[in-house]
Amino acid sequence: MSMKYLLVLAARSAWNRKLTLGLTVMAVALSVTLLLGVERLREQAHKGFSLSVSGTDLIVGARTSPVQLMLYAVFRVGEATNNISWSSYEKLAQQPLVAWSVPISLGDSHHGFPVLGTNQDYFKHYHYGDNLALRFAAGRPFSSTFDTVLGAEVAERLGYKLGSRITLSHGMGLGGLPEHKDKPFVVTGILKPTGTPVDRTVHVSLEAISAIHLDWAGGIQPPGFHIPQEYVRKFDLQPKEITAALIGLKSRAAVFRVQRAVNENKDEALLAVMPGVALEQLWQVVGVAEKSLLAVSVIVVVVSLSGLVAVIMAGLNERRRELAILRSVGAQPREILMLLTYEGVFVTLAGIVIGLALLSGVTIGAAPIMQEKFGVAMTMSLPSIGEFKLMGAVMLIGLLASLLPAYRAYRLSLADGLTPRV
Amino acid sequence: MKTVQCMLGLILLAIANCPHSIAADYQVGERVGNTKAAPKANASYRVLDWDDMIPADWDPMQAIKGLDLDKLDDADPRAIEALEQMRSAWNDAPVVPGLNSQRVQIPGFVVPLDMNGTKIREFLLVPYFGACIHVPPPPSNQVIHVILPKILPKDQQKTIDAAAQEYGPVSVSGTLETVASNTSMGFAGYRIKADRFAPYQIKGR
Repeated sequence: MSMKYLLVLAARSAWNRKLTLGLTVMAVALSVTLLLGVERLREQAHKGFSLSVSGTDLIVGARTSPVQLMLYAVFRVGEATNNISWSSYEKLAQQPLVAWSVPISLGDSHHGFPVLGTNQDYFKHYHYGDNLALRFAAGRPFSSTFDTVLGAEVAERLGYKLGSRITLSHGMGLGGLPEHKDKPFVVTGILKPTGTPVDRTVHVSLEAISAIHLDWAGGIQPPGFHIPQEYVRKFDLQPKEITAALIGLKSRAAVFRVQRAVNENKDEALLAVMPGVALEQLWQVVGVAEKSLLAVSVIVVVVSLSGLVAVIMAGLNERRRELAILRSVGAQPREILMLLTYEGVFVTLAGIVIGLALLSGVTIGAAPIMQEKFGVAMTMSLPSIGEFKLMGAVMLIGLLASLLPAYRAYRLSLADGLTPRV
Repeated sequence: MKTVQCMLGLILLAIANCPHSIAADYQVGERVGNTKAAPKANASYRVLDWDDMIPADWDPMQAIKGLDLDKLDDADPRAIEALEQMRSAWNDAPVVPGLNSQRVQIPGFVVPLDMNGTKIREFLLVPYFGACIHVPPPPSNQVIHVILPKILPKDQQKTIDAAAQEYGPVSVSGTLETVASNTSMGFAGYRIKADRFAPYQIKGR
């Protein structure tokens, strides 16, 4: 019998048992979705995070864990433990080795999107990816106090255009936040998409952050106390404190020296981290969880493939006669072995293909949530090398697993299937 | 039974394949060792030792020399002053100008600076492990800023990425540039425009 006939035979026979095999395919598909999903999430998180900052030598903030400083200052995940004073920042910015510095002030939000107070240097010095600068899709950087520049995603999701008026909320999160209603902002610029947290950020000037909190005390606006927008300019809007600062040095090799100077600062407890080092530390922390997740999903795949073996094994009993007839018309034991192996391999292959399709669906569905909650950009893409490796491993396990029932069928004698049982 | 063993083997394989290994295999402060003992990859590069990068007449310990350390308390103002002097000597460590634009090969530990995705684009090379996190950083003439070429063969990029993940060692070849302290940088230091990278194994490990 040629291979083609065997394949046709295997397919037809499988079609006869489509319900049980179909369920097995679904089990394999779901397990493959889980496995590839974990791998994809891991890869995209790594990629997204490391793309988010480039060319910055040090990130300076209040003394805390390096990973945490990195998380809130660059990825806007979690909240700042403390602020640093403006005078410390100025002293730092004037050090001879510092080429540029960008102050950052966080804490407010707009419909769940973080608001970042900074100055014009941010648009010049903040780089991402392979040393790319921010570019404007429309408009220009903010120039007056109540101007704002939106990230690409903020503008798109909320439907803002140049000239739109928006109000900021006090604090982070969604809903139930007190609003800075009395001081609306005008959109003067919209940035091009970057695939980094910048897309989800509302940028205003540091003076604006001071201005909207002028008439606030202890986190609320005291009743009856109100400074109208037009009078704000009469106050000193020089910020008293900022959340963090991005620092670029004249010589990158000087980074240790400046870092030590910041960390040993006697006036205020400051911390300087090197983004590359902090990221590696983050991966070491996350690595344990990643590995256990991957291990669990590998086990799920094995369980589903055991199910596959069980289904084909159980099917052997029903198919005694079928196989015996094949033998009686001239099929060799070797061909019976192939027949059953094909079935197992087909089911695994179908599982992998459907699993991959499911994963694409889930990726599209979950991408906005992942972006919003964890700052991880999930993009549709061809499977990576890592994913192909995993799929290959599943395929291999599937092949080996289906050899088990195949070998059993191979051993069944011709007479065994033809003798009627009582 | 065999199948079960195979499956278990494959699971282990899949887990072991997971690219991130945790915790580096090096001790804090461990040095790259005798660099001259390393196999010479290419005759056109001069194999450089970290000590070659310190001018022969530079002595950061000068401030301590005159002191009898046994008789000094840690909190003694003289001891503190000497320590401060030593530190500033470390900060302003001079470079060896003769090394400028030489083609060199030197091994060291990687401290990652910039990454594009999972790929390292720039890093610092230091003579001992843990320079960035656990122990005081080396003096400025013991740090090399390494700039990667735009296009690098895949296996070499992999070597660096793997080294960066655990701050491990790598051997760098390229053109060394010195930046003197009287330039606008306000800082003396070394920079390598790298041509090629090779895995580096510390002797006796």
